[in-house]
Amino acid sequence: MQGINYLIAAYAIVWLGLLIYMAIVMLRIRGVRTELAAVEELVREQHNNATTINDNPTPKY
Amino acid sequence: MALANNQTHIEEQAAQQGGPAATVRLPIVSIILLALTSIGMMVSIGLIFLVAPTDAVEGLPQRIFYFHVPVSWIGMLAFGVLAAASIAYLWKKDERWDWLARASAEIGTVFITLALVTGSIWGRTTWGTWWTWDARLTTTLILWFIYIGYMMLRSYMGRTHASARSAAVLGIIGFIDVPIIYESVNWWRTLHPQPEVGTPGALPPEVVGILMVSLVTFTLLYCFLMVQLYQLEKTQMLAQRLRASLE
Repeated sequence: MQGINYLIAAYAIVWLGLLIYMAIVMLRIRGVRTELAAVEELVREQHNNATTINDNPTPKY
Repeated sequence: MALANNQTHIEEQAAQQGGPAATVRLPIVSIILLALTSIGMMVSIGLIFLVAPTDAVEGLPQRIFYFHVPVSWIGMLAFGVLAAASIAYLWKKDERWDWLARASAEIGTVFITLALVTGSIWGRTTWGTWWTWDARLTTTLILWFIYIGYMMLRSYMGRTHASARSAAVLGIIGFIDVPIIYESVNWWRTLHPQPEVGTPGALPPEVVGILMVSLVTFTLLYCFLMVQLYQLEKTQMLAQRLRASLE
């Protein structure tokens, strides 16, 4: 009967280990995508600011 | 889990420009691999617990074999891919090979850890001990340490060319341990069983069949994880480059 416990433990560890790892990978992907979107927004803002300055140059006196 | 298939604006731009991130993106690949892996896992579990014969000597714990062998196989396959990608990186100097190597190392670490744990549990039921300094076990533990060393090196040195180069060298040298693990049961007297798969008459045909289903399933899982981690590596590099361009 004790053999069943070892069998269940081995399968549970493999399944849980893989599921936890896949969840961690998913969270990491989500985190990096969020970060990339934020940086992308900053780049866009910087690009827009540069365009505005070029369209309306500071008047020379 | 197919989150890595979504493309951001920057990635689309990079893909259009044909830059380093312009890899072929196949969202359908992830979906197919995940579906096949899920089906394979269910079929494997069904076969292992409903069809596989119970071993006359070891009893029920022998069924650990159907998961222990595939996770060990993936651990070694991952190191093979890591070594091949490392050679390609040193030769071509293309960072995509480095992403592949890094992804494979991470997955290999997880699988070789699971191989050691399931092997230890199986050893407890068969040999009466959780661990013994047997040749197969010791060489596998060495592989685990090599994987950990590789991951630590990557973590400490960051995403630089020096890090990629050093890790590639470690990956290639570390691969020497894989054939040693495989041959350890032939070279030394060990407690670990001799290779039975492929030896005529060593295993009943139904056992070999179920093991093959399990091996294919775990290989599909490895491929699925590789796609996800490769995309993760690519996205991290893009984010790092964009951040650097802002500074």
